[in-house]
Amino acid sequence: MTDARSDILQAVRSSLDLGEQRSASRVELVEKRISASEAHVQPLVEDPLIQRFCDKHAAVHGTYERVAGLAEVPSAILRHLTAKEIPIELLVGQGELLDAVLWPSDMSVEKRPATVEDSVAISEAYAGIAETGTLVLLSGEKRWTSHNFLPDDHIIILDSTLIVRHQEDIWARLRALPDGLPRVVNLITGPSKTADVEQTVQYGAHGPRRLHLIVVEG
Amino acid sequence: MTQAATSTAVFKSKAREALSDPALQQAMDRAKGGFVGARRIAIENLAEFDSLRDTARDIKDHVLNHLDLYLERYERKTIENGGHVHWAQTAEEACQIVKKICLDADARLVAKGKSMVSEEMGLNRVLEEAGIEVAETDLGEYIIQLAGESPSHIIAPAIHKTREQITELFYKNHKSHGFSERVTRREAIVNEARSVLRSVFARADVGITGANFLIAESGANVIVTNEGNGDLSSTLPRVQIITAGIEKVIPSLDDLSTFLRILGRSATGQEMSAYTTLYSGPRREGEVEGPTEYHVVLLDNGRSAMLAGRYRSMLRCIRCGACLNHCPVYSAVGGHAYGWVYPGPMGSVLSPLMQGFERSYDLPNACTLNGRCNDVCPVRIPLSDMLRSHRFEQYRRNLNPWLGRRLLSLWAWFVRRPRLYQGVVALPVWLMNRFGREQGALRRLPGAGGWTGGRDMAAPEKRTFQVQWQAKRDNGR
Repeated sequence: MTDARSDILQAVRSSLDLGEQRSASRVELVEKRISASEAHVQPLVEDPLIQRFCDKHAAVHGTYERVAGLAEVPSAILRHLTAKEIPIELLVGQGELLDAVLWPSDMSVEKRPATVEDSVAISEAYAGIAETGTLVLLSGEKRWTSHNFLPDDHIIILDSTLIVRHQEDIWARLRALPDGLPRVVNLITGPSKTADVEQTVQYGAHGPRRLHLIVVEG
Repeated sequence: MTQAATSTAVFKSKAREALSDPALQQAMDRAKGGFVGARRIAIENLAEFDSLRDTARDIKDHVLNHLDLYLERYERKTIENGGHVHWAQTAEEACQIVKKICLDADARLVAKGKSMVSEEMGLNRVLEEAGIEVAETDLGEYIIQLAGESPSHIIAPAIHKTREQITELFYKNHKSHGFSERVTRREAIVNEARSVLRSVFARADVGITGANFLIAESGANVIVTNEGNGDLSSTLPRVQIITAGIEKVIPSLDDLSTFLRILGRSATGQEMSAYTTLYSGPRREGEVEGPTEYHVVLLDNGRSAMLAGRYRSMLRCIRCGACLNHCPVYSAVGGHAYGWVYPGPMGSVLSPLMQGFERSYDLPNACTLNGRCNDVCPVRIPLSDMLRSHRFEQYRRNLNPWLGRRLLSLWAWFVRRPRLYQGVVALPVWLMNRFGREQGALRRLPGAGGWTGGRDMAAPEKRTFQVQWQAKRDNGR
């Protein structure tokens, strides 16, 4: 559809009433606007960031536990699932912390994409944004996006040192990745919900019914 | 879908029906104030809100001034990511492009996330006529698809439906899925839809969503949802299609953050919606999930023409719905009266520009010019000024009814003769005062039964404005 393309661009240019249409100065302006992009107005986000992050996460119906180290992660997961009477059959993604977890032999752990049959997924967050209690998850060979949306229960592990103040702090980090932005960047703020029935919030519309966060400190 | 059968030319009769539809009035009463209150609280908690609005407006204005270059840049990055970019001048062209992608992929089932542009295109009908099954997966969209209706709100498509109506729709349509009981609790209704739509996600060949933003910096499309259906539609099918208007492009990720801070708050009062996702191209090497094809369809459909004139700032619109939620006319009649996919103030501005002034006569006139839409718009679009411009345009094009034009001319003649005007208005003012003096209001007024049928008419001040003005000036001397 090259014709439609040039017709639309031509229509845009004639509406903008541009003298010299693709002038070097305009191109440079646009490229510079992008390459020199920086944060605009940012809301005030007060310290301490870890607690602020956890409070914001709880405010959108997420649950959380702060643990002192990696060794406590399996027992924290076990506690959470047992309390809710959820079978301990876990799909596990990938990340520096998750790869280092020693799973007890009585916990069923699988590493593969999720199907509609699966009920629990464990992911590792790339970062947390204190401003809004938002978790950032990236796609990758062993970081399956389906884990974030299909199971009823989503448990996310987050290294407390990866909590940033504002959203823009994430963009700066992502731009520095060798391959640029991953295919999928999920910003997750609370469990799935809908208000399409009588404008009343119900959790677990299509994505996870429950979102549990484990913040690993130390 | 039914949008081809509806028309923006029948606002008055549809509004009348809506006002006397008890189920609709019940649903609208229930919804009323919910979004408005949530937005107000969210904004009270963000001191920077107004400066964010200014910034957002300025970003959009900058992009629109260089829209050609930003579109080219976005296209280049999307292709670098392995995606395909298609351009469509009209809704029909866009439908044909999407249909061809689906047919080439031997698609039998399409899972759709919410997309107002696809509603604007009338896409579902075109795909269905080509023998492709289309399943809306946003709960609100799913409900109205079962009902055979179009959305009545741009972010809450089924806002006009009562729970009882949804119960009946599900009861009628879900027997083949093993649900033979009527479900009446909200939680059970949501669970039933979840269960039915899981089989759609598992089977769909193609996923189609809209885009809240397209990022020129990286070639990502951004969707903002609460349910997660848009992400399942983008992740599980083997082909991903995004339909978007050409005005959706923004420069950078930092710009995205500005818009995300105002979008959720303006729409539902949320600081962030549950899911904001950036998608960049098809499955990469080593990945075992995600689509193998990634297509973006960029739709013009009148937008490039809007760039030229006084309606350019309408292209800043981020489709949050705040103007609908704060509009007294929308709140009274609901979205269907507007006759096309975009209702409320933003719809009354857009429909004449996209559907033609001739087909949308009533819309710019179904406005009290109270200006609440201007006050709440996160990108500061002067909506009611544009509706007034539409009225001028209608007059210029001779679209007003003959009687209205004659009365307007007569009025113009009358008000340009101050002595005559003062003499003539003195009598009704005196009469209304005499009869309304006791309560300060009139219960009945000859010739204005339409007004006093539903409310009292305030009695005028004892003296006319001109008399008071004169007195004030005399005092000031």
